Amino acid sequence: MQYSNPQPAEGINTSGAHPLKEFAILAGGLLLMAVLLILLLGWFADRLVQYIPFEAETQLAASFADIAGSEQEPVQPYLQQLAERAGKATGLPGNIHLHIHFVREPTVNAMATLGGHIIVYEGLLRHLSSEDAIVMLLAHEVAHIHHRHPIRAMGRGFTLAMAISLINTGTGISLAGDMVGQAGLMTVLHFSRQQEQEADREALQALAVNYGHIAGAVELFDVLAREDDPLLHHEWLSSHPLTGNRIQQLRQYAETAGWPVQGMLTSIPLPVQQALQ
Amino acid sequence: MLDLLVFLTLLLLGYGFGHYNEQRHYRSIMQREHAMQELIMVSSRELPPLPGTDNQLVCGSVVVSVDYFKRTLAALRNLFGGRMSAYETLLERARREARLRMAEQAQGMGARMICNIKLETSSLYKGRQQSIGSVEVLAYGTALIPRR
Repeated sequence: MQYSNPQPAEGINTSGAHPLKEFAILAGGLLLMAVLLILLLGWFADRLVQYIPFEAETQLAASFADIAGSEQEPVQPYLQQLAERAGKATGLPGNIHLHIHFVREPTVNAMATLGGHIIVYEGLLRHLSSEDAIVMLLAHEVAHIHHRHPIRAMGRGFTLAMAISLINTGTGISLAGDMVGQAGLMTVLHFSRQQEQEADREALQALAVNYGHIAGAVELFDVLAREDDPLLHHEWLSSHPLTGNRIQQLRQYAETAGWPVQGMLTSIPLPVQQALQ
Repeated sequence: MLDLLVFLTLLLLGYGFGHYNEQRHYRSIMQREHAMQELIMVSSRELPPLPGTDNQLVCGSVVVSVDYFKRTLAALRNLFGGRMSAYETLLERARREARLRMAEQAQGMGARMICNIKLETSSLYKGRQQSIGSVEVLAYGTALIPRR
């Protein structure tokens, strides 16, 4: 018997495809599918919100009711009154009750959450020198509540979490879920930006109805522009539109609606001013 | 955001080092296989009736792991199905390297031929959620060593 040892040809047992190309196709396909899935689920979640009565939201938010720093004279009643006035100006339905919480912390922020709760930090109020600016701020948060943005965001958050856990358990790969999570976060932020624009416009309306001009909005955004986080200066990375873009959009909106941008600012009542110092 | 950066960095490092190591390993395998051509290696169980030879067991084993990039690629491939090219090169390299190590052992003993070669593969590490990371390939056979 003759034995020989010929060298077999290369590339029989391995594929010649470039791994980077394969990766791009697979990862792109997965991300595309995930984004479509999340958009679809988010859309459904958004549709379903109108069937959740506001009363149910109030129950969900029962735990927020005892937020520290509530009911502080004279700031809290003043804010409550301004918020209710803003709500009236923009047609807030009667069954939605607003609860303003004033928190003595240096944070420059304010937020709206489930059940009509609005949290305003002292840090932001200290920067505002006119009632107009405070009304703009409150009306913006009231508009979020009017359009049920907090519960919409929660619904989308839930669908996103569900999609991630579905993909994780379905495929047994946490990595795929992580990638979907990243893609999902981008779309959630995008929804949030649309909501911010909606709230800005409605707040502007409240301002114009109450004062006849929108000078308060300019003051508020000047303050926000100074406090902007330089790290978040890419619009697609942040939940809010960049302040510069926001001001420009508001000016355009005010122009089309015929509201003057300049006007006499109303001052904050003296007891409130003293309480904030 | 930070998670994404870490992930991309690992992916990039994995691809860079993995690709470099793989190319280098393939070059070394081809070169050594070429040098080893004198040694006859067959998988037949029948030993040729050569008088004056000793028979001895020789074996070579390799434990090798994929890089982060290929593991990610394989995870993606798991979703869609199809040719698992990320692991094909890993296993081929392991098989050829194991066979080479066995051959080097036989050559050190002065063998002229290895018969009845067998290859065995086992996954060593199944890791989190059964993602296979490393593999062992064992090659063994009967070396025919001419008596002096």
